[in-house]
Amino acid sequence: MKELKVAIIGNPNVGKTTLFNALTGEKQHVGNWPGVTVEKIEGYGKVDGVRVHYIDLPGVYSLSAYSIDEKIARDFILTENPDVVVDIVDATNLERNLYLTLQLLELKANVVIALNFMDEVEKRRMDIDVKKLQEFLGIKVVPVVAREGKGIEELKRAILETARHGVIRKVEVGYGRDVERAILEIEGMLADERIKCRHCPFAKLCLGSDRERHWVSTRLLEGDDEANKVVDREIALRAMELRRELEKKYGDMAAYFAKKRYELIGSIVRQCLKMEEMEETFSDRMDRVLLDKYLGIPIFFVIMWLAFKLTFDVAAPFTLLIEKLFDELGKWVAGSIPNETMASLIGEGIIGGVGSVLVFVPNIFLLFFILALLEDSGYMARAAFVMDRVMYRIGLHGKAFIPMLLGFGCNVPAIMATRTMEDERDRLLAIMINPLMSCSARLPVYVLFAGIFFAGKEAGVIMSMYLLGILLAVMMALLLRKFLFQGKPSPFIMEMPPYRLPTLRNIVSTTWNRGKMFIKKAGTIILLGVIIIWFLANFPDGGIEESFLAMIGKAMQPLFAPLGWSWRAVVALLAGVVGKEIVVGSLGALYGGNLSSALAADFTQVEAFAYMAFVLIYVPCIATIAAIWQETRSIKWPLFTITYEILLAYGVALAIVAIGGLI
Amino acid sequence: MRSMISLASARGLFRITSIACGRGCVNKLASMGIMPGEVVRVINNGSGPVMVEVKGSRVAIGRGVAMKIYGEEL
Repeated sequence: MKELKVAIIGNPNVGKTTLFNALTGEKQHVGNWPGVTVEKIEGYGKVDGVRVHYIDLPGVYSLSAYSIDEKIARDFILTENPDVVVDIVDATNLERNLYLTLQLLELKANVVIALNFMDEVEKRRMDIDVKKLQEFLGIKVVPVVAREGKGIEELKRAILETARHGVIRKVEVGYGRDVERAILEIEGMLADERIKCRHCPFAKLCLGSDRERHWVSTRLLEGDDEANKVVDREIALRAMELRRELEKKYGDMAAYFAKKRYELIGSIVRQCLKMEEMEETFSDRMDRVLLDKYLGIPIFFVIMWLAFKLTFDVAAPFTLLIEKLFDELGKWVAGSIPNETMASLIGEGIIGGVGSVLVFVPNIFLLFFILALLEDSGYMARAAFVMDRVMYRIGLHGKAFIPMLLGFGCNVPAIMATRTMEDERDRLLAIMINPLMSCSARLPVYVLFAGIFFAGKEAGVIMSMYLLGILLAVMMALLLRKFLFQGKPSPFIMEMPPYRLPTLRNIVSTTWNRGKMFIKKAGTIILLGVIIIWFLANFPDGGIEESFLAMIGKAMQPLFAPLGWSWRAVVALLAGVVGKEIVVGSLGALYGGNLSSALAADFTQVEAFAYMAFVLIYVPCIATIAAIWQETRSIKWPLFTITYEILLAYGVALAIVAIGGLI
Repeated sequence: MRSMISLASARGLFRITSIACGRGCVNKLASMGIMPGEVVRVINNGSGPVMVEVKGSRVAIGRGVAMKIYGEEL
């Protein structure tokens, strides 16, 4: 048998990742789906000597294609024709989960159900008749406990069998005579060769089979915009006409179709599921406190503060260790290379430069670890719940809050954390404003300047930088919402998963999969960046005063003359693009001798404050630019971020100098 | 009496009669089991989103949407 292609699908929070790990083992490939920013995970496994290619589809509630996730899942099943689709169903929440199953069956996919959380079913004194369920749905249903690895072998066998023999029996949802007649009419029009679909992106497959025709006609009557786009205008118009007629009699068609599906599900569930009346669950009691009108927000801030503190306190010794390691390594390598230029390139340039970025690795892994912990336990959904109201006012989705908070640590994982947002525009907006959250790399610059120019008032001045960042982020969010991402944040409709004890294995694997991307991708780009900067600082002559960097700095200086900065200060800003903490190191190298007195002579107090603000706002560091690029899969967005941030930084710095001059 | 779910009191039952948000929103709600004719239990209704129990799961609905879900308290 050739290689099998198996798609894994399910609602969010049904243990999809855990099951995927159990099926594929550790070897996974994490990437993005083509053209969009949704994470795509693939892996391989073996069943009875047959190689199986597993593709993890996004967690979705339906296949309506109203979100990118749903569109990806649906397009994949329609165009890639996987041999088997494993639908993971939360056994404790059968009714809602079977909605997706039914839609998969309507697509005529070869579905196998993995009935997860069977242990909790027993605990809750529920009883599911698996055999009956299998009979009613006409497909194999395999009970599993994914986090304990129970039922995985049985599931693999069911996958193989379904790949060989297809589903047991085909199930159809009845939509009533009137609607079915309308479906038939549209199907007829679609089959008519004279009317060709013009805009279908999958020209060859488009409406070629009965299966697609049936699906598309159903969707057209449901009022699906995507379906409208792929068919001929004449058909779309007729479908709309038919829909209007039906809606007079049956009300909104989208709701009608959903109701019919749920009716069928209801009748199946009634016969397969026995459960006692549910009393208040543990989750409900937790939510009563955690989502309380008054306590909710304070509790949220305490949890975030703890997460934040943990991330940086636990990481601190490791960060120091890595810093020292690279420092020593750089010196040792430089010392053992006779050629002076090569020694400088490898020792200071490459090792020093890459090292200054790799020191963030402990922070990033810890952040991802805590994020995964919060996500798996179910609290992340509550955090979005609690903050939704505040965020909505500034045009952001509730889920954008966590990434903003993480930005105070490092913008790179923060930007990656926006992945939990479903709506592309909401997500882009959250990414665009994230670099304004003052990351820890900017702190050394504030500390240096505040110490020299604002002695005695350091804390307040440094704090003002953080507040300025937040203020500008809010402003930018409002502006971008008004001009670029018009409209309101997508409606906040979010399932609150029950609180569950996270498993270490799962968290570690999620942390590793996300964290290694930082090492790999940012690492390669950073390497290139530091080599370029090193070259510019050391050529043509070796001395920094006559280097290309100095030439660039002197050429650019007039631009910054209104702000009162010298060419050295300008060069330091340029070097700071690699990483903002490098601004401090560069100033040290450029001024030489006693940095404090040299700076004190070169800046006025107002100019220094403007310089700090400029460092806060201007071009995000290379790692952040790379993260924006990677996450948006388009060069357009990093370029946009760079442009608006430079303009904003210049404007703010100029305003500070102007206002400062008046005082 | 016709009301909206954003006004419903916590721990009460609410029967949905109509939903007036956009098509995508109606569809998303329907896929989660929130549709006309359905009776849901309101779990939490403070100043933020409204949390309801529907078909065995908990769903939070932003206030903007909650104001467009009409029906009556039971």
